[in-house]
Amino acid sequence: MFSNLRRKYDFTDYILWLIGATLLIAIIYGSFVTLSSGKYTTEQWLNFVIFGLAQGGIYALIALGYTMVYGILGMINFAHGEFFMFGTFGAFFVAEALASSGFLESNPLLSIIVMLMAAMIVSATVAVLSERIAYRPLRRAPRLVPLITAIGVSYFLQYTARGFFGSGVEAFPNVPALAGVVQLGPITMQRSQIAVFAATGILLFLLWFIVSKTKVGRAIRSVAEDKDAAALMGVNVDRTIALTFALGGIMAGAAGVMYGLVFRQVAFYMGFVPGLKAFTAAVLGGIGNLAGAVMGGLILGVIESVGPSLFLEGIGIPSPHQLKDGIAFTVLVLILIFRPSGILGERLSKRA
Amino acid sequence: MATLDIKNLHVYYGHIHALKGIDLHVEEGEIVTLIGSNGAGKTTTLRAISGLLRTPEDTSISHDGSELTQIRADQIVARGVVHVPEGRRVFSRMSVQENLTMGAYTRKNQQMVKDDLDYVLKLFPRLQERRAQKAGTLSGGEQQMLAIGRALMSSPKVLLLDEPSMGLAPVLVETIFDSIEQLNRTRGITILLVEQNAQMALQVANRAYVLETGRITMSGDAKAMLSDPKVIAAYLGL
Repeated sequence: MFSNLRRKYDFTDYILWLIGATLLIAIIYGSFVTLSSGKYTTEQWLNFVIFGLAQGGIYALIALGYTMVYGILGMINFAHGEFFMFGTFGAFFVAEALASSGFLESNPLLSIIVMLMAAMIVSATVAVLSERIAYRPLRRAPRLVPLITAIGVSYFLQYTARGFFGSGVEAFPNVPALAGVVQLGPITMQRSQIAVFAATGILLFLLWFIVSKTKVGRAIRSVAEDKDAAALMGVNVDRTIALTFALGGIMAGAAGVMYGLVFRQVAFYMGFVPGLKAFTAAVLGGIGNLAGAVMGGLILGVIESVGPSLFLEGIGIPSPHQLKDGIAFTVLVLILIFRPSGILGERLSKRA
Repeated sequence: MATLDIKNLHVYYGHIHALKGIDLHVEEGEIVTLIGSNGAGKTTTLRAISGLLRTPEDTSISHDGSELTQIRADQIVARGVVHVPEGRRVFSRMSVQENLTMGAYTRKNQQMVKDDLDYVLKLFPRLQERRAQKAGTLSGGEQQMLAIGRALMSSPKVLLLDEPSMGLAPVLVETIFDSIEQLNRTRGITILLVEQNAQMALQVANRAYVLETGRITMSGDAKAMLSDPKVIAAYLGL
């Protein structure tokens, strides 16, 4: 009887469940302590959530690129964070020019649209070129090969950016119209956060519309499901894959502009951590699933922003906000252990 | 001139020489069947015609006089050579309607597309009932109807059918074969049919080829083959 049990769950499973249970207890205990100490007001909690949602919106936009490429090629494109970085640089140079000409101050809305356009074009171009040069020749190679290539592409792009733009951190120009806060009832929102919400919402709607309602979207979904069958319908598979990379790049470029507006800095290494976070968000939501990427991004953003004060402070960890990256990657490890298919993901057995 | 003319078709999978120089032709308006046992190369032949497989340079596959070996699969569909693959391969996460729309992917004239859609839904009323349903939820027979219907939406001149009877109950096999004959008779669609069910295939076909381990070993009138002792012994299992 016990040997049966032992065959079903082995030693590592118990250890993993133990770790999970310990973390859960720590989170509940920490939250309880913090909440009962009354250190933060409701308004402060709301502000944490709003900051988290704005950050999460940026993750969501980047995560869409990961998830779309995974959906169509079954590959994790680890260079995707670099597409985001190039987009931010594209927006940065345009913003500098607009700021020095005074146009940024006199015409903020148009300026932001121009910045978005520039970033989207740059990111999409880098994405399409990466696919064409690095990934397409390896399409029939074993799965590990494109994965390693993606890491290579990532470093190539990072150090190309470093070569061109230098290794320092540049300050993203200030958009005066986005400075300051808006009071919405009990909630204080920064104007830049409102801009992020609006732009993210519009882009998500457009992407949803393209993928689910247009001919191009049907082509993308058909290629994602069955490349041969899609070709037999007359779909140009190579072009559709390139297009998917372009769409992912466009979303990453937009995320780059928002990152620049909210965090006001640009650097050649800036794609790495947001890229990993967005990957985490995509896995959290269920990789390959568009709605999942958005949900995962928002949830991750909120956990990261609320978590340190909520449960890390409660269990007595000093300066908990420096540990927010730790929270994100703990989330990644926990999902991979307990629910590898993510929140909305299909069970892997369904595919077999 | 044959509408589909294949000369010296070779296919290699790595070191395996799967097709060893096949010659076959299909005349306009004919139903031609390619029969043979598992692994003989029937599916490979169709995949080579529709451009899913690469062929060596001395292979020629021509449709109405123009060469197909040099163009991509998606361009071949636009020329009117349409392949219904083995195992149906419908887009299971799309609705029935979306699958049919995918069939018309290369077409510009929306009025003609609409007429074809009406025709397909009349030919297979079951699809009309399930238009909004995800294709993955259909039964095997319904999926086969959808696969054929989807191919009809591409406005085919030549239809390549790979094992339409596979995994279907006998009564459904009858339905599918009836509609194949009807397409040929009323719409004038030329058909190249690959089948394991040699009995059914030879009954609907005008001519037949027998494929054995990558070579054509016999060809001729389909009805004559039905009574050929060698065919009976090898493929009809009587």
